[in-house]
Amino acid sequence: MPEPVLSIRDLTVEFKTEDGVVRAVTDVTYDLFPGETLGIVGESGSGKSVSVMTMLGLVPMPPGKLVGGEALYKGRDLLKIPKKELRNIRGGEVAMIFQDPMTSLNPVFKIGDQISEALQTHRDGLSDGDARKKTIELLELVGVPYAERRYDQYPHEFSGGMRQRAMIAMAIANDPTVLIADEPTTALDVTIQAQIIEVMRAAQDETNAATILITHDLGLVAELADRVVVMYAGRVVELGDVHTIFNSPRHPYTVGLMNSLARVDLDREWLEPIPGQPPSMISPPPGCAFHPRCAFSRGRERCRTEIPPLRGFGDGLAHLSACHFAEELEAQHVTAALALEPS
Amino acid sequence: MLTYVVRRLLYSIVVLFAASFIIFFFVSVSNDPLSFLRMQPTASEITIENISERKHLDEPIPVRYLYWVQDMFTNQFGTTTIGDRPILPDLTRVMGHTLQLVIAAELIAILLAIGIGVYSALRQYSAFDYSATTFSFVGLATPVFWLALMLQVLFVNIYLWFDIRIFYTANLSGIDPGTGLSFLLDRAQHLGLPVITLAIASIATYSRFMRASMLEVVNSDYVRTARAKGLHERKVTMRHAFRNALIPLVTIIALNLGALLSGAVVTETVFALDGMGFYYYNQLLLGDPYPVMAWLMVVATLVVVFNLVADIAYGILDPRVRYD
Amino acid sequence: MTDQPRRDSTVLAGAGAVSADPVGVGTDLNLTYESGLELKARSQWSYARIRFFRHRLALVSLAILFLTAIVALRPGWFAPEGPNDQDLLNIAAGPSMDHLMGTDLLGRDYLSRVIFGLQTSLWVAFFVAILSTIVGTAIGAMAGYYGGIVDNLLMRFTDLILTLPTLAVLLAAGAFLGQQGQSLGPISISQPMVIALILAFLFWTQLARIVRGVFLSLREKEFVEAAKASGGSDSRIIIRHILPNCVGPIVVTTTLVIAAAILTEAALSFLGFGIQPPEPALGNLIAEGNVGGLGYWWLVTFPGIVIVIIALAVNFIGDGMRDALDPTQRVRA
Repeated sequence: MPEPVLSIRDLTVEFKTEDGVVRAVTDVTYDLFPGETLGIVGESGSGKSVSVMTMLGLVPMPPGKLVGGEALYKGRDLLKIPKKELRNIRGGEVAMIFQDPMTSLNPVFKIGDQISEALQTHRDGLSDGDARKKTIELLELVGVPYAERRYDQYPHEFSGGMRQRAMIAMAIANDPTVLIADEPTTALDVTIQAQIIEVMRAAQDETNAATILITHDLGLVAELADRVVVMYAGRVVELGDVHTIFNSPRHPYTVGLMNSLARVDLDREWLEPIPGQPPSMISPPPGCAFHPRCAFSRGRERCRTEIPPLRGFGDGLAHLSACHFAEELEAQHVTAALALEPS
Repeated sequence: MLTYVVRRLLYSIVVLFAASFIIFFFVSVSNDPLSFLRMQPTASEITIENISERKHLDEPIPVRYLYWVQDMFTNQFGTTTIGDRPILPDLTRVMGHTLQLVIAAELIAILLAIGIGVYSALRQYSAFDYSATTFSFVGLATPVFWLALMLQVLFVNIYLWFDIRIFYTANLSGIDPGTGLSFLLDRAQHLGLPVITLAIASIATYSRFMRASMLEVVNSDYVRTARAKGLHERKVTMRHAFRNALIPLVTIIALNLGALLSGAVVTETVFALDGMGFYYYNQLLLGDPYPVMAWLMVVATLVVVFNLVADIAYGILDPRVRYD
Repeated sequence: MTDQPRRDSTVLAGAGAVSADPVGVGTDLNLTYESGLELKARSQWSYARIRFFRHRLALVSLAILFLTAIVALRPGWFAPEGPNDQDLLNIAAGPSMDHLMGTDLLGRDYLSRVIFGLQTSLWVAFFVAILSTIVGTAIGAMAGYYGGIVDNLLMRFTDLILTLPTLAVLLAAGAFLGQQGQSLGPISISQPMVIALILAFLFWTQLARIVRGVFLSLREKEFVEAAKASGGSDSRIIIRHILPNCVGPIVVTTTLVIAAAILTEAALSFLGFGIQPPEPALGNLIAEGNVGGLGYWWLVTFPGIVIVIIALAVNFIGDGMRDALDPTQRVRA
């Protein structure tokens, strides 16, 4: 196996809120390998983006607080290196695409200047003219028509899809090694989403960057990801390559996600929602955080008392699951079992 | 843009006329402008009748209003009821003094308030932030006239105890102020306290506003984007956040002009400063509607013009604004 | 608006119970789903209460204002002497144990004068707040609900008032209209009341704009359509269906109007165009005190401190109210 370009190890982050301390992520661990796309999946509030935001120093502290863990990029812990070095990496070797293109661009600066700024920050002595030329090339690459003219337009003159293209252009401006996309299509119309996915693909091909794709959209994961991290209540509950996760999930939450997904390859009468609500992050349920919603845990004391550790399965134990009873889960059988509503 | 300005000005003229009629009505309906004169034993019956005739005081109010409008256009706001003194020359003279006062106070206030507001927002919940917030709250709860009095009490006592005279009374038309540096020093000593008074009141408003607007911007998505680009924190703050946070402040400053000139009435009266506000106060004491009307019209026109300037400035700062 | 105050809870407490209490009835529900999954559904008002009580300054301010109001309601109980009783042995005396705030130039106990002045000033401020709230709400509601010409007229009138420097116009009104009590037919209006009416006349515009905004945004909403479809009259829809959504902004604005009214009345009275002596008010007490010159500092200082304390308290309460009732307007702190 090649060396990972990025390793998150036991990352734990807390937030102080009006109502108490929230542990946003607990002991999160995963690797990102060169050239691959890693999907991070979970409901809103499950801590999907906190790990990468913390790594890049984009979580305001306070209210955020780093409790422990490391984020190793090329062997250096990004959580400990000086601010100046982190700034050089941020937007350069590690770049980010944000969720809402409507609010993520500065309304008072020209689109082109905002991209050029990203270029000039990381390339000393790049002249304004050269930056402009390079920016126009980037805009063309991500499919912004009349790039020359649109360089001088302001964000409000761009549609949502076009703005997200501009955001992608900004992210790939410095040929990043790692590209992080935080819900890149969520805020867009369905028809535009498909286009942006294409642009994402093109951007990856162009830069050959390892990509972290944070999303709650399993369809997008199936489309783009090589491996998947499933998160629930701030913990990694399952991790594996995309085929394994989709075909033989080993965690009841993942199974629930699959069942709530519309799929053309399965003949299903209706979609099964996961019962209940995401848990309170201030006082999470004891034991396995998912147990109150898990039909599989009925009557099992262990689920209520003991936090399940991540355990390996399959070839080289590369498929991880945090369920006490992962062995019993065989996708084709549990679908029927989980259809039972919890009493 | 030009059509926008023209349309706004035309509309403002209509508003100003409507406002002038309403005010004219109210100052005329229950008041006899000659009551002051009637109480003077030296004023003869004939004088009073003459004035009454000249000002058409026996006509109904709408007719008097029309005479007033005619006077305003053909005769530069006409003359005072008592003494038949031309209004405009007096008004322009005192206006110069008030402008010195207001411009100095606002320049100080805007610069300090921006600094205080931005720093408070960046160091939220720090000791500085708490002090600034406390200052602002107390400032907003303090009547301007009382602040002026307290400053007087303070500096008079400093003079009495230490024999140090920092500020002088604000008699601007008395002694020749000289030129150059000595002129500036003279103005600073005479206008010092009124300027401080007005500036404190403005700082309380602006700094609080700047802090709120900066806080909102600092937590916005596009500032996060700027940070994610790897920009230096100073550049993130000064280029991306500050520029956006400044936009709403422009409107507040322009809208505050009316309040500022009103505040000048109080401040100038306390310091007996020969400015617009003191002039207004004295005309109110005399109960003469004509200079009062002239004053209000000049100030209202200034407010209209300033609002327009603010709108245009807003458009320059914020490209999203369209004039149509 | 109805859903807004719950936003924090939805995210943080995972309260999926938003749907359990869509109209915000007054009770707290406790839905226990499974162990560790406690969903506490709170009504809008209990959230508002919790937020307000968390605001310690607002609570202290409320207590101060409450005490001040009691003093102002029964000044005779609290003032050590009558407002016009003279102590001829102590004329223009500084603060002492006999006279906590000293005496004025006629030997009257200044604390007593300040207490009676407080009565007038507070009374005027509350009257202005109530009157301008009623007028502002009514006009804003009508403009926003009916739109069209009504709305147009209101907005033009608001523009007109915004063009004028408020304090200067009030001074003119005070000078020309408010020097003595007025009588409208059989109703006679006392002089402080005239001043209050003048203030209220200019103070309703801001609230009218806010209420209009809420009405404009809500009148197209489904629940209003539904009320119309089921035959509700306009007045019923305005009062029962839309107005409750404006309670937050109305309460906040009214509180701030009290503070503005106290400060403005003081300025008017100080300059001699507000409440006229012998009726004592905080503003004209300062003016009287100032006549003797700056040597009698206590005559100028104490009424001013009282004004600052009241205005400060009211502003803090307004801030607490805004946090509690109108979280959308809150700057995230």
